[in-house]
Amino acid sequence: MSIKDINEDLIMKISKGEEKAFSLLYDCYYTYLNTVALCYIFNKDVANEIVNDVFINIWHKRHTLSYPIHSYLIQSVKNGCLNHIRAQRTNERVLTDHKKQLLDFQEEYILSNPTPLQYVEAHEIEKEVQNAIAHLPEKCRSIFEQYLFLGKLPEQIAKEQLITVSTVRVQIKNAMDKLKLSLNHLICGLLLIFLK
Amino acid sequence: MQSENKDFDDLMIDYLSESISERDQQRLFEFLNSNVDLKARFDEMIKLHAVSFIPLFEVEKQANYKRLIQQIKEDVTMVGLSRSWANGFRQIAAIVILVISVSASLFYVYRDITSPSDASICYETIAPIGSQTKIILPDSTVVWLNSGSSLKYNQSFGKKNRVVTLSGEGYFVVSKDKKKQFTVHTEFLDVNDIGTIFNIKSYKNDQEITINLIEGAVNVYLPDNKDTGTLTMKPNDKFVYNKITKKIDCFQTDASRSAFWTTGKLCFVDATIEQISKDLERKYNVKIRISNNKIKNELFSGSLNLNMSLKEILLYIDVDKKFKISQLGDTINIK
Repeated sequence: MSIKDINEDLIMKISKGEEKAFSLLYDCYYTYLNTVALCYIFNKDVANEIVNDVFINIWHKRHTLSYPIHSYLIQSVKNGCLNHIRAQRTNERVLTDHKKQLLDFQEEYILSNPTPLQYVEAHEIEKEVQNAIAHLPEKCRSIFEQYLFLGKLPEQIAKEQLITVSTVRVQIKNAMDKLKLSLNHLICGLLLIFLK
Repeated sequence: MQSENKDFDDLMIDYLSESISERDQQRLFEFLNSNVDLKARFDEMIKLHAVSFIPLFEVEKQANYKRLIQQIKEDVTMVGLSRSWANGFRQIAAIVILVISVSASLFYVYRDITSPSDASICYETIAPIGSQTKIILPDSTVVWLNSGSSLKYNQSFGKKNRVVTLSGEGYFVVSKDKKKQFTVHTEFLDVNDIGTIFNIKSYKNDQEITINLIEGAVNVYLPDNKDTGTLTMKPNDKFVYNKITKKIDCFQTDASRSAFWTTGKLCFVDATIEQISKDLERKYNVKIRISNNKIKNELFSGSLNLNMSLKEILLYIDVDKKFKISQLGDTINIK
């Protein structure tokens, strides 16, 4: 199943309430939309929540769907991210200048980067990213994964592993630099070419 | 000063983990405004960060789809109910949708990308302070997590047994499976059952752990307290364990009240202002200090609608208008 299979017929089927068609759309777009959301909101859980809401919405509004759906999906994710930032603005009881400035900046970033990552077939890039991370030196990989997937702060990792914070930071930077090298063809060739 | 040593990449590491300090944030913005090349590095790091998660999303895709479908189906039944049922149900439906959309934060402990073995994968769901989360476990047990709570289980859940670890408050509707006992571990005690409804409140900072059994039967086991062994609870039993005195109390009550919070309300029967403020602290993410000893001993009964702002609630509790409420940052002082 790939994005080429998303056609008018499939959208029609979703409109008629065929769950199978909906699940095909989900399969194609789930990882991609999450990655797009993560370019705006850096918290994986929040990104995931936003994307799930987009899919729930698609199902609830299935009668009004129309083809093509690609930019509609991206726009929905973007709006979800903007809403998340705006909700923080109104939910915070006391909005410090610092926090306000950060939210302004993030909102501005989303609005000024309306062209997200180009679509990539997730299963193609999955192996490459997996390999790139797997080939990091053991210690570097472990620290990078704790930072990334467990959401630990450098200070916390340093404390747990009895190493200095600067060592942790250097390892995270090394990991990112190495990833950049191994994924360079993807980042430059595919991911950073923006859609119009 | 430490922040002086941080270069642009360091600032980005903090920025991407949402932990950047005020000072560093200023520096990051200055860097970005002063140098166009850094803007490109900024984009690049954001993208590297995002792309690194792709394998993780692929792994979670199927499990997430199941949850999504379940969520969609529940939304539909709830909407249906709210039309025909009275106001109360409409609120529950609204809260369910709100809760689902606001707060679920599930993350995945991801040890080894290349060969994830069963035992090493564990799921944790956290309801951040100020929000609630509803989780549907693989055996279709439903758990509501209250503000500031977390629930953990590993990938073997449901295969041989059903074991979860709870910190904070959770309302459990356990699906019936006589072959596989359902066990909730908390800091001080374990609860075993095969298909019931109960509420456990076991926050780290609270002096007491309380369990309310709404339906069925559960066994409570205190590993540290060998004298008591296992205690069996009947419906409407309320079990209270004091962590400091190690005293156990078990009595009959209207247990359904304990699950009131899942409807977005707080319900109290003869509660002190201190107990109430603990719940409010978690709900509104503030510290409440009570410096008037007279009000400390007063008892309150009633329910609070958590759609209200904290200020409204405090004024509502203060029937006699004798509180003096002042606020300093995140701390609210009541005199």
